[in-house]
Amino acid sequence: MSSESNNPRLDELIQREIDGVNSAAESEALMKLIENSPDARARFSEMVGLAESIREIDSVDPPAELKESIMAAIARRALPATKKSEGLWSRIASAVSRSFTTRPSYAFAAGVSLAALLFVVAISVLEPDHQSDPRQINKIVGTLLMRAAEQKESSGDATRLSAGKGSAEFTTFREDGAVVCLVSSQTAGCEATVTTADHNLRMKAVVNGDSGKSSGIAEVDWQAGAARVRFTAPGSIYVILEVNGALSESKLKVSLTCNGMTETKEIAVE
Amino acid sequence: MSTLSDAKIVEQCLRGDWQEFAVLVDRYERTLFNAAYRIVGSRDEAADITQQTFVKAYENLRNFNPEFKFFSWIYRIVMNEALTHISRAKRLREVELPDQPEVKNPEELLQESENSAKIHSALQQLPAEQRTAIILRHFHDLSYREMADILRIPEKTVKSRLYSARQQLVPLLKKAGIASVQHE
Repeated sequence: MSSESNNPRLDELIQREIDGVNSAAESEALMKLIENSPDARARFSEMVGLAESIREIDSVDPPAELKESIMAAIARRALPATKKSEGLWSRIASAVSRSFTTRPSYAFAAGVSLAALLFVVAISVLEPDHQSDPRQINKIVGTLLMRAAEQKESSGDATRLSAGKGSAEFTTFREDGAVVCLVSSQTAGCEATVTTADHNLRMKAVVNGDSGKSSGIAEVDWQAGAARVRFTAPGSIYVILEVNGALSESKLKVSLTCNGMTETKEIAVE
Repeated sequence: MSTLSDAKIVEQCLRGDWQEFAVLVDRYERTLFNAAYRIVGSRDEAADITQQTFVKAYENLRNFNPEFKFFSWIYRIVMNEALTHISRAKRLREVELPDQPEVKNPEELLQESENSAKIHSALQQLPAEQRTAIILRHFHDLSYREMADILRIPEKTVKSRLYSARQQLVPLLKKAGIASVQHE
């Protein structure tokens, strides 16, 4: 190589030309150097070739499961809502009003707790209709699922009830203006009830933990102070209560009835 | 695919609608993964860095200034994560192992054309700072000013790193038999 190829001025002009930052005068000066020197021409050709090769490098596919993994990590860190009106509760209310219609239902069967029986007159049941918004419901269910998992993680085991050959878990947590009780049963045919005597808690919705619908895995009756869930298949149901005022020593009474036997416990709502 | 702007999606996430973040992941996952991959040289490590980048961005969404581009913001995060990863790995290697050449697994090799793999391999032989300069300039077409902003170094240093990187890369590509840098 001649001295031209080691000329720092030439190198800088070439590099700046590749980056498109040479002035017109600089570009012209470079072109003259290239015309008059085979070494300069070779050097310029190398650098242009380098830039071209790098641009041609293939884009590589990220692993297929990467997005899922990112979103799972994000879910564990989900931000709390900044505005109460746009938080979980309003989204539940909005999605439920869009997704479900109510219809009168039958009275609670015998064996349900006394508290539930007090509200027998106005029972209604959530049912999906053709105008449902599954995306919205799925989002809510996703949030609830995450919160339930966090709750289990932070407070240890959920409240576990056993009756006859069946058992169920009740995980309760506060979420942005609502109290949510996740009822999970591995046994079909068992009946779970969630009741409250606190006037500041009002039953608002019952949502299937898997699909956002209340049908499919359970028959559900609910009204202001009580919800009854009769599992027709193993699964999870979210019982959602609106918080209308300060909760002081509030409790949810949960019970499970399987094979004619019943166990009842109380869960504190803080 | 959502047509909402990045800033609008960030706003929704800040209101608690965290699932909307998936749209941003869809938009930038590939670019960020490739940027990380070209810097660290391993798909597994690039995937980890991409995930850390999105998580870090999500955790710091409140600090994002919507007057600026979300992509520039998150791109800076991925660069920082990748460079931190490299310096951490280098420290570990110095303590635990002698320096070893990067070995690619067959799956990684299959993904790229022969030329692409050779260029990737040549890039991996550059010091991380120079490699980063090449990636920012040639893969993402950033200006000196943008590079300086992302790397938080003066423009003069950007140019110096870029020029040195190119000068070192030419003989490496020649050695690897890349035709476009060979003399006629």
